[in-house]
Amino acid sequence: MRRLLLAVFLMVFAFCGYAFAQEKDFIVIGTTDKIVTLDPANAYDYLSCNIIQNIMSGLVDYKPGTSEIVPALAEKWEVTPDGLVYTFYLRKGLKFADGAVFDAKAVKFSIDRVFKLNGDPAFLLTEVIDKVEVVDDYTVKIRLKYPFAPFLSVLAFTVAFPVSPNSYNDKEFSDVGIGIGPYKIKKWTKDVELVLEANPNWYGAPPKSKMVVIRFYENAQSLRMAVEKGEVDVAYRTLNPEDILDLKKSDKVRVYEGESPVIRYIVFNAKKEPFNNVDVRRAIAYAIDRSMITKRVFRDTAMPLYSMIPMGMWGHVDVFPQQSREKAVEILKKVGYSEANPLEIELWYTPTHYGSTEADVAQMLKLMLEATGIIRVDIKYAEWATYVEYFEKGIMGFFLLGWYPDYLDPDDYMWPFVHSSGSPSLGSFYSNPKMDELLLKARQISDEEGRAKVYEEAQKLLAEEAPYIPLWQAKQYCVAKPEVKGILLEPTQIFRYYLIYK
Amino acid sequence: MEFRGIHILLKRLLKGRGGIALTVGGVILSFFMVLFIFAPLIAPYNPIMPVGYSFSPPSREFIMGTDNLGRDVFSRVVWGTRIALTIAFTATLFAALIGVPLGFISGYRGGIFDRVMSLIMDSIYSFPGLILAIAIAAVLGPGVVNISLSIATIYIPTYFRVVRNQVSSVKSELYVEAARALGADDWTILTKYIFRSVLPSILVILSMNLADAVLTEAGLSFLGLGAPPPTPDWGFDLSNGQRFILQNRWWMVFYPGLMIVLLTLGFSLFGEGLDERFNPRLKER
Amino acid sequence: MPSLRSYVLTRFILMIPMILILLTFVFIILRVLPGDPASAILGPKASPEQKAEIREKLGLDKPIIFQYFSYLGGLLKGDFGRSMLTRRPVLDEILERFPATLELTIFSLLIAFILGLFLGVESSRRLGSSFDEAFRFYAVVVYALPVFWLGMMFQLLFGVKLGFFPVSGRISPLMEPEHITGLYLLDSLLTMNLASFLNSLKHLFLPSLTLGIVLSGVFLRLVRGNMVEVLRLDFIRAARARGISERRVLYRHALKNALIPVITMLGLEFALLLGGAVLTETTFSWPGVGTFLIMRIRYRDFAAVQGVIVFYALLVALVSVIVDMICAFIDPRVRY
Repeated sequence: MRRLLLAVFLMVFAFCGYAFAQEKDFIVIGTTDKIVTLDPANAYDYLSCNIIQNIMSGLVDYKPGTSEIVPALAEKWEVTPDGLVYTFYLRKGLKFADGAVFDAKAVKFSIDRVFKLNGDPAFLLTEVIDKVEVVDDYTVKIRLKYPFAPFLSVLAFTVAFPVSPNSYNDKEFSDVGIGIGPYKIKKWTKDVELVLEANPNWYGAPPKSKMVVIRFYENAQSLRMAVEKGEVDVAYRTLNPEDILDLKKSDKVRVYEGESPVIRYIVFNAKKEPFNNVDVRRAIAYAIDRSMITKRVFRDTAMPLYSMIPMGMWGHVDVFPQQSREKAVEILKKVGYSEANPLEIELWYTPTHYGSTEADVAQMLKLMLEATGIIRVDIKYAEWATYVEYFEKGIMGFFLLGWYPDYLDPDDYMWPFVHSSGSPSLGSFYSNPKMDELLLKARQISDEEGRAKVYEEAQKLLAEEAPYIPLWQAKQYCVAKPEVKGILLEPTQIFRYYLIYK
Repeated sequence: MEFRGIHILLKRLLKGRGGIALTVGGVILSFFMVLFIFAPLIAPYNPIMPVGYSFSPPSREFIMGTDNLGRDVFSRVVWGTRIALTIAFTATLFAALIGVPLGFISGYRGGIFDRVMSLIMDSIYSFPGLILAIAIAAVLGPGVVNISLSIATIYIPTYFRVVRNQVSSVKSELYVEAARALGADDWTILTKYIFRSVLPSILVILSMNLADAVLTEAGLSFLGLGAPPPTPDWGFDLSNGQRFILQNRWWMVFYPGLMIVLLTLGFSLFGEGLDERFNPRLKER
Repeated sequence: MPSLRSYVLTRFILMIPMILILLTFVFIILRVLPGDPASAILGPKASPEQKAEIREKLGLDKPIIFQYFSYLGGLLKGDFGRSMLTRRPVLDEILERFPATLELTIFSLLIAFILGLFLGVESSRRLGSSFDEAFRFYAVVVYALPVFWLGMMFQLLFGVKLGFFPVSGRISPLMEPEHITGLYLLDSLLTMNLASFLNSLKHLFLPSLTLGIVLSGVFLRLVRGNMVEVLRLDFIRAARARGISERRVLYRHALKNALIPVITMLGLEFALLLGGAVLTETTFSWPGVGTFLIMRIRYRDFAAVQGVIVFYALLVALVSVIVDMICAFIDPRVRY
């Protein structure tokens, strides 16, 4: 009797397992990034935003594969000639994932909520928007504090995505993730996996895959094993350069390579000894061999960069010098440093925010600088939150940083860095009236050619004064099984799950 | 025949009043002392300079291979002894300097002070030490001094407990009572009679804690809470090597790990030996 | 049974000062040490007004003693505070991850216990033999192994070279069983989901083996030591004289008596286990409280870090009470 029971038990058991294994109509995407929060009012890290971009959408969106703004939840919009008032005409008959009706009130609620909760990305809206007015059910007016040309791109960012008034309140942040998007959350096991399923009420083209599973991996090694063993269909962000090289040779997977607008650079605190001396900054710029970093650390998965405006963008000019150790030594000796009286500096990096290669970069830089014989480098590190606090308070004088653009325009690679109003927030504190004047001029000119000329001048000035040293420009990599289609590596770095299928 | 030889060797190794354990532990520790002192002479290369191609496997030129930046793993491993021993000693000595006097006072005085102190120390003692060290190191931030401090904190109760218990039992022994009757003052009794009888236990714990401190330091730097690069540090090198484990660069993780094991083993064998010699009652445990 | 009840009650009351002291210790570490909690909470982008507001909200403008009591008051109500990163209740976030840690620790403990038990008994039987000596050596060596290093070696051997076991994570995509307890093995059994059961067992194997081996040395020594003492006792001699088989004498009669001191030590072992679990979890990308702690340290989310420590303190205290109760229950000699 007991045996029989056991046999029956086992059979039922096996059947359940079998039935389960049958269902396989989904795409699995692996990542080493972490979701911090799925509340648009608080999300400001890559993966959190990217998930939100797949389960919600904004009034406007980028056209896939480009940086062009197109209508999304708003069918059309008008801007007053003074650039102060935007009127949006909303798409009708839409419902949030929880069934709540999408209307002007929901838009106002969502933006007001960002103001009230004041999360990490809130400043993007609070600094610009004066107030939101409901005109009628499907018309909403947004009044700005001052004219701001890239305002539509800000609305395309997750912080401005409408959320359902039924599922959110303006007292606290929430992870329920209810908006209007191609997908909705089916199940979320923290740090294990997030399951998305197609939103039946989605107004646009239905997602190519009915279900998407995002799997979280602690490090690049486990992600690589997962994609090699076929546990995931797609691995996006971030594999080690070594692994990408290996996988490129493998016929089990396909490696996608794309341009990336991400630039990496060194920041000097121009107000801090000894970096307040232009000659010290220039000497250091001469001492650095970028190709050593891109070859030895990144195995050519990154490209040396000689300007703050990335390669491939209009206006880019190579302005920084190639390495010249003699030149570096000459300048340093001129300012009074010598073998007996070396320049002693601290170099800071942050160990996890930019991946595990960061320590290698810092060590390579130390080697290059010390090769001059008259620089001594002490490497220091701090985790990201501490790091940000340190550079904003001006504690660090010489440190590594990276830039993910908010909008694709040379302005976004110059203004925040070297305009006197932007530089303190990046820890540089650089200020030069001539630079301010050039950058303002470039904002006012309307034709690209004219602006490019001004930016060329600004870049030359930047290289002369060297408050930053551009180091390299990243490439985007995505590894997928050969049968996976629809992978698009975008200049905006939005990874659209709903275009992927197999 | 040969099997019997090994048998006898092993028997000697772990028996006989801790003699052989003490010897083996001592030999390992002297080996590391030599590495510590003569690191610049033993290491064939500069541990922080690239001296070859990246990822050269072990060869005659680089007996433990090279790492991702082309540095000699053997030289790094040798130099790593310095940071490991420095932190282990600083942490344990610091803990002993606080824990031992507190234990003395508490055990000798007794009363309310003793009860309160014991309760505090017992509570900290019962908590997972590594996790406490991680939290303290996280608050203090990375660096050699901070990591030593955070490790020291978790060992204070160990010294306190042992010293306190010993003192409170020794102080009522006949010979101490006799000395007191003969008019010896507290200080004399503490230093002359009690300290002498407690000293062996302190040494045992010191050795055991050193073993544990080496492991904890490795754990903290593995988690990225240790000394900054390019300082040669076994824990850091291990986590660095972990990135390349799939490329089968085993030498980057194997050798630093081996050093951690050996040094820990040295301290624990030495401690065991001491323990068996000084506390023969416990030798069967 | 009233006496047992009063024993349990006393034990619980004794737990309170212990927990209180740990909480105070944690409070001192995280509050009195340098650094402004307000800027830590709000991050660097906050304005001075926002910081002032949060200070007021958190009571940071009040004297430290007052803060201390409001912190304790919050804990009494089960309020572990809110994460500075996600702004969610810390306790919720910990409880989401705790089943993973629990599953790992239970299995590691099981492996350590069984290994230690078997090797300890066999060693005590062959006292002084090369088997005994070899495993005494094993116990010392195993203690000296850094758990993350051993884990990596296992990953390399079983995962990469042989490919038998997954080297990271808790379960394969979409294999997660229906949530009942959060313990995958138990949940998959309850829902009769064999595929998930086997899958999670496979994932569990390497991490718990790693941690189990490292801990087995301690158990081996404890079991062996106690067995040696018990085997000297008269009743064992009597049992042997009655012709009961040696195996039965060892595993039935002697072990039962030798086990009590071993179980008493479980409380302390548990603390060791939790520490080791943090490193094991990070090595194997195990989504538990340990990886959570490390992640939040990276984000400088001290509210979460503090929450984890308080949680562990409670857990350790609870386990020690349970262990004492088990001992009292199985050993009539313990008076209550």
